[in-house]
Amino acid sequence: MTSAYRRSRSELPSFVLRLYVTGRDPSSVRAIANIEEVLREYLPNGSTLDIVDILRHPQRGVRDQILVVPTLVKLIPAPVRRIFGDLSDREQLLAGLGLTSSDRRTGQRGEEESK
Amino acid sequence: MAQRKKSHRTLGLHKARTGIEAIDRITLGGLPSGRETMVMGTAGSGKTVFALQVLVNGARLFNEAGILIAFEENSHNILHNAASFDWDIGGLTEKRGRSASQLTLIDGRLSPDSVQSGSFDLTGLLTLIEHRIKETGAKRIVFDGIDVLLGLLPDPQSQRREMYRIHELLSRHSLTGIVTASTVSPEIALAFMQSLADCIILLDHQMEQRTSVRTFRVVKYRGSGYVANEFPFAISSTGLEVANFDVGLERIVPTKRISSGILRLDEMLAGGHFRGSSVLVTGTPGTAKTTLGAAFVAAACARGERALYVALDEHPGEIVRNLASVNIHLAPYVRSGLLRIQGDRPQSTSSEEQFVRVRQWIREHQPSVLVIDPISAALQMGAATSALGVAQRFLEIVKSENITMYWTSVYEGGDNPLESRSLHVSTVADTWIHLTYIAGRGERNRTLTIIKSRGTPHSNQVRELILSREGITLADVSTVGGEVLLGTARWEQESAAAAAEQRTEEEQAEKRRLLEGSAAEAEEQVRVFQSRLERISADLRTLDLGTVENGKEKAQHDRDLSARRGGGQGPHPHKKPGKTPKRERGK
Repeated sequence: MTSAYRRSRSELPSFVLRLYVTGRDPSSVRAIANIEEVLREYLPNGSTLDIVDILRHPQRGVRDQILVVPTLVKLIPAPVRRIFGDLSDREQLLAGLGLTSSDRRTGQRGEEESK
Repeated sequence: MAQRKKSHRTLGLHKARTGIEAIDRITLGGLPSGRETMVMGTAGSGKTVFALQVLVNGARLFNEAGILIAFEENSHNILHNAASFDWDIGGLTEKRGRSASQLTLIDGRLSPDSVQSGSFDLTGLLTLIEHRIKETGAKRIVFDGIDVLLGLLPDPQSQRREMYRIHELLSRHSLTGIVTASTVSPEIALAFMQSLADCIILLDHQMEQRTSVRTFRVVKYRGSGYVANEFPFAISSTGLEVANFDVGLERIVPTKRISSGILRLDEMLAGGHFRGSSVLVTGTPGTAKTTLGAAFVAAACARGERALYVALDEHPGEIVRNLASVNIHLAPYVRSGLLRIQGDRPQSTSSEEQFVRVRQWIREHQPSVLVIDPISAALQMGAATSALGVAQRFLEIVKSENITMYWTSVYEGGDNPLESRSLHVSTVADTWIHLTYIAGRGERNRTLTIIKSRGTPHSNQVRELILSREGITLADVSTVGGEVLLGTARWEQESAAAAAEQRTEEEQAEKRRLLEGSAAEAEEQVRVFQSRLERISADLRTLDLGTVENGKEKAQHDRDLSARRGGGQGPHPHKKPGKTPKRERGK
């Protein structure tokens, strides 16, 4: 288990994510909390999360064709992928990020997948 | 001028013209501006074309920039499809120097490989749209395939919430909004959208007798009148074409005459056809309907006028070749561009589409005379009702453009439904010329009859139509066959004119029969009354006699009575007790 984790961990390129939110509205706040939790758990030392508030920077939302909020964009590693929603569906979130349970640092939180 | 009338009629409601003439008439001036119009219809009913056309027209005709947000297809596809119309959509979407483009397309589809995790809302989209509105100063906006967008939302509440936010956005920027949605879509929030929309338009596309029939209908229009009928339309290279319908006929009634191309026929019509009139030429196959049409066209071209010949059952080349044999030479006119012979295959399309195509050719060629040969081919496809409507609209358009039209039609008599359609045409045609063959003495001769001609005195005589190398001439029948021909019973049956005459004769006979019946009835009644009168006067006479007798008897009786009472006081003894109490009271 540990060796498997190490192997995949070493192969993982660093993650670059961007999360588009609208101010402090509930789903945005939830989304930030959810993604931060996943990053802590799965990528404790190798990720960048950029949070964009499209109310303050509408041009960025326009430029990046953000239709629904919140939207999480996985920029690196390829392929670029969009995950929309408040990220409360852990299983879909992990699938979207290309992470599997074998990437998990601790293997005991499976029951929280569908929060 | 019509504009003023409309704004007066609709008071405070502002309207954005669609630029599609007929639709602006149906909606009495256009779509509600600053509000939503919902366009519903099945897949392929023309929702996107309509919406896009409103944007294109807005930009081109009314200088109003537009935005289209595509939820169903990607914007690239929409642009690609739109390129097949004569809209030059590329020119509209390009940015012109520093000013923003006139038409902006926004891809409203989530990328297909995106993943959903939890709840979300459309703030991003709305922010994006609002940004674009400010950037381009857009006045018109289209949400194409809103049902697809709604499908993304998890529950009806959030669907309604987002619909309301869109509604708010539109009214905030006083945008004319068009929201398209598929009618088969199960989204519940569509009902809510409908209640938000001020105008609902329903587009339909159905197969009727194996041809496509598209219809346009305004279902509701809050605060405005509209024409509630269902209008057939077609999609042509200019987009949606709702066939013209005229509310007010404000047209100049022409009084100028033009030649039919046959001298004797002009004489029969006392000077030719009125410009802008329609001439129906009926006849059995081979009675020279096409020749008559061609002679008309050739005469127009000889005067230097532009002509359009729509050949629906012959190849244009064949027409030119065949007519050369009767000394009608069309080829030089075709070469010089005065004459356009347009072949077409009506079998593959509905009469509605046929109409739209002919209208397109009319616009391109700008003819002053038009021949449709034969109209029966154009009317045979699709439903009878739409075919008739098409025939009437043909007339509308040629009249409004002052085009003189010949249309030919096969007519052999009888109750063939197809022919009765052509006969219906005859009621709207200004002049009806009927051609027949008369067989006899071992030959078949063509004859020509003018059944009707509005507004011109016309000969009611049957003429013989002679086609020769020299051309077409009409000869008096009397000098050819005379009475024999006219008296033939067979001819009576073959000629539609005679049939019509016979019909009126029969009608008259029927009327006569009825009248005679009532006359007889009245006579009978007179007889009855007469005898009653006689009886009564007889009674009266006996009564008179009896009265004299009775009078004598009565006088005698009265005398007897008073004699018996013994008083000369009179016949009223009973009045006495009544007077007594009065006298007492007086005391």
